[in-house]
Amino acid sequence: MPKLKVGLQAMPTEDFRQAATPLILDELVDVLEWSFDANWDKADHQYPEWFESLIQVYSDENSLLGHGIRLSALSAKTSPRQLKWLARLEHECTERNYLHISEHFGFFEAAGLIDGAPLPVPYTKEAVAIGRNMLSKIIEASSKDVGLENLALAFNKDEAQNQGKFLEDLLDNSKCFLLLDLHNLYCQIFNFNLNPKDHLSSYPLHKVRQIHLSGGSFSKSWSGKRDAIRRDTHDGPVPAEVFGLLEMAVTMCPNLEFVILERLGNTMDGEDDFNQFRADFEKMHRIVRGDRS
Amino acid sequence: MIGIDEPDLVLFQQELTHALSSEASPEQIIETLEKNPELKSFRNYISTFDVDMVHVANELVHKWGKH
Repeated sequence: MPKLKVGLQAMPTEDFRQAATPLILDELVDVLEWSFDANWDKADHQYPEWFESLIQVYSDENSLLGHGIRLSALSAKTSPRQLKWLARLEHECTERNYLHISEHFGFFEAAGLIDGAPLPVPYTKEAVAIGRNMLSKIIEASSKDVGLENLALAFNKDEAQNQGKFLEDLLDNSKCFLLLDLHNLYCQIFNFNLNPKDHLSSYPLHKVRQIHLSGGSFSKSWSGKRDAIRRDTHDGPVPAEVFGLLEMAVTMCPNLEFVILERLGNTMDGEDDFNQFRADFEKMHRIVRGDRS
Repeated sequence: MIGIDEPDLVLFQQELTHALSSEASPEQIIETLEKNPELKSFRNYISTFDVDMVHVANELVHKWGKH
């Protein structure tokens, strides 16, 4: 089995630059993941020069992963905006050298909404057909293998427990893979009181090529029936439970290649947060490389 | 032309995002969707919605949604 590669989701923000630079200089960051479409809706948007250089270095070294956030892959009706996204992706993949492309399970575009966080989709034959069709279009536009990331939110417990099967149906193509977000999995485990190993096993682990690791937060239960709701906010340290899932996943995902730490930009405030981010990365690195000390 | 337009799912996604964009409570959102005669084929699915998760979806649409 080839050595697993570890990396960071790149953010064009000063807190990321300060927290991540020592890890990059120590050559601990094998790959970078970048949300190439984050600012496609902002005309004339410019990234900081250091960020452009960083992305280019990883692209030149064949170590860049593309992670889209703006497609709305499971919208039932294909929009002109999505067609433009696909055309722009085709161009993007001629400009930079991506190892693969990923997007998110779910939809946000409908009824005039053109941006947002992905929402669950009912598991129907029609939804599977729509998703497979869109995945084939992403493959065609990018000429890359394409992954989908599992979603934290589910409208009920059954939906959480069946998302793995839904994803397996959607990813029924040798060029498709699962990007398994372990914090999203943890949200489902916490919110629906699921057994971690059983829930992890309900996903098509043979299709996992990449893992996301992140932190999140708790919010109040609207109904009062739960102590709290776990939320996928990407703004905190990685919980012990998520590291526990990583320890299981690295042994259960035979085709895993990349493990990426995510943290939303502008959510770290000073040295304590930077040190925590680096400690999370180093712990992830040790688990992935088989050193649990 | 790309895409497979599936009329029922198109309508469901439109009505769901419309309801989640409103100022209604999660309970009212579920009730509105359940009573929508055009969503008859999704009624069983909607009836299983967890009110806490609808609240999360409602917050996500209000926080990140753009028209």
